[in-house]
Amino acid sequence: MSNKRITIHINEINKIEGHAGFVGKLESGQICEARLEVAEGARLIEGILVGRKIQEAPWITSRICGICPTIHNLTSIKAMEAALEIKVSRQTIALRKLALLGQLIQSHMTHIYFLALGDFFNLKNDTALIKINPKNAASAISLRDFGNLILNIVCGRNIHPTTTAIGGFRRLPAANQLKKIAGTARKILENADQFFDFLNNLFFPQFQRLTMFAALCAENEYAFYDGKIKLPKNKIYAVEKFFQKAKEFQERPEDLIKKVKIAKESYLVGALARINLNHKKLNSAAKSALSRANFQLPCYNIFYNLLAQMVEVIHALEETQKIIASLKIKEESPIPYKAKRGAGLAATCAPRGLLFHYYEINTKGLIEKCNIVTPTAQFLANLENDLEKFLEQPRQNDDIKMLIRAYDPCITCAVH
Amino acid sequence: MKNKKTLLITSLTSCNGCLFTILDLGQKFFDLLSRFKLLGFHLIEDEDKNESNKIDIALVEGTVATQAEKRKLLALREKTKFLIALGACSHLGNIQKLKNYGNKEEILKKVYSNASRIENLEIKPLSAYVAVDFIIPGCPPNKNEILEILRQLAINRKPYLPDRPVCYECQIKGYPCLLQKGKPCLGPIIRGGCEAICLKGNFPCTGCRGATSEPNTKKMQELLGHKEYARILEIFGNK
Repeated sequence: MSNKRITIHINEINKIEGHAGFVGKLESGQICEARLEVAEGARLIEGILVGRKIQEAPWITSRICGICPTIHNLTSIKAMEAALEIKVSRQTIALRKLALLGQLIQSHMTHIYFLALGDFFNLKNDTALIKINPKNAASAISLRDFGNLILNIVCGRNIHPTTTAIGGFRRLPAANQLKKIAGTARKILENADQFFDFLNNLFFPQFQRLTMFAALCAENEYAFYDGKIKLPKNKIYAVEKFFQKAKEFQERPEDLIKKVKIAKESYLVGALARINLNHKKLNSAAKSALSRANFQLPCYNIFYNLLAQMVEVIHALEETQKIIASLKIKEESPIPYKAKRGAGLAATCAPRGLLFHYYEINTKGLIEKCNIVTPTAQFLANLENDLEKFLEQPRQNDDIKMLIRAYDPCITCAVH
Repeated sequence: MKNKKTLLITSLTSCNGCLFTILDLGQKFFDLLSRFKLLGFHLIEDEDKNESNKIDIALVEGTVATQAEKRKLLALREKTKFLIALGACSHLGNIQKLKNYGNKEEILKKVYSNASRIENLEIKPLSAYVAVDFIIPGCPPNKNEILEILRQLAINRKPYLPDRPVCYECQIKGYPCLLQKGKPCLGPIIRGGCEAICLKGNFPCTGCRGATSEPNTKKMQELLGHKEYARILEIFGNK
């Protein structure tokens, strides 16, 4: 073995949300460093919110991310409601859950098709990808459009919601629009199933590294909106308890992303972690797709994140119909509230995994403290550990990028 | 079609929402692409292209938040004939500009315990760094406006967006006036083209598209009160 030092430097990894590069260092064939390098600036969202009105938090934090704005908006609203001790109606909760399904479908289909799929065909350009299989392209685009349809109807807009508010909804969707959503969901379920089978037949690189998973969990459903935090071996934590355990740290002074570990261990959040922990709660068509998948649970191969996401899309199409069937929209306004001193923590599962918003507020209705912990910040250490192991074998830069993209990192969320 | 125009779509520090708005055009966007020679759009391609290419049209989303981004923008301007600021970040500064109105060093320290190596530039619109040839406003922008402007540019027409307030579209759509209900809505002084989408959601206009060419700001201030007026203007960097 040579004593050569090798540095792998990828300036910009395209086809991810935000801007980042990669640096890997090998000495005598041993990997000694593998990390993502952020190539954008900090927007200091947690700092700028201090001193501003509480109702601005959902409006401003949705702008953390253009691919998952709704989850930031709703997590912020939930945290404010916790601080204000407001209990919202069942209708509000059902509509929020519906919105999150729309967000999930839109985000997953964007990642699966536009960001990650080209790697499986060695195609570097989505226009080329569309050309080789226009039918699949149309299918993926129509599924993505469906996610946006839900968001437009329930949240007023698919990027940066307008109808959502602390205490409820400013404007409620009309019953016939919800019917339209349910009808479309029923119609495109078959497309989603076929798209899953198409993905399932692709060649997935065989690479795995044992790790810990974390996800939201609930008694009666596959949780995105509310619940406790589940780790492997059925360990379940209250949200507050987990939030204390999950330690944020700034590894180097130049690091814009604060990574998160539990007891010094990295962990995985997101679709693959959720499928591993919560697969029993999936709806029937999603379960059936999972049973056809070319992987076994527990699955530690991040490349299968795409398949896990597609299983969740199928689940979401079923869940959408269930929620709408149980909804009878009645006119109601957001619950009025009085500003008071308090602290509120909320956890949800964003498309990329667990998301936390924490606020302290005062009697004037102003924010005094804010902490937001995003999915990518939580899985970044796990991603870098995977990259270290991945680089034990000689790899092309394209392979490294493929692994990073399979994680579906959101750099703008992680930096915020 | 010969002599297709070259097009670059790129971003600086932002939420990337403008780029996803472009993707939201779906098949329409990919059909439109056939009229251009695409030099880069990092969300949908990962190719090494000749960097010396002259760029006919560049769509730039986001704000300059690092020195590297400043260099990137200046270099891009050198090569670009027609540079478009896409969205409220590049047009106005957007939410990240909020730190300018406070003590940005204190704000930085609230976020990073070790802030010694974190860049903390004052946030400015793109026009503070380079000449901007056209603005597509909004947070997010209206995808139909993006489509229309690219169509106009593809056939060598000078793009155009109307200069009329949000109220114009709001009234055509028949949404109830929030200002008349006593809610702080900036509709009268903010440039429309958004189809009054916030008002559709019963959310007052907070000004993401910037002011019209002749806004009656004095009247607006009187209506909302100086403090509230300033607070809302800050959100998207209008102040």
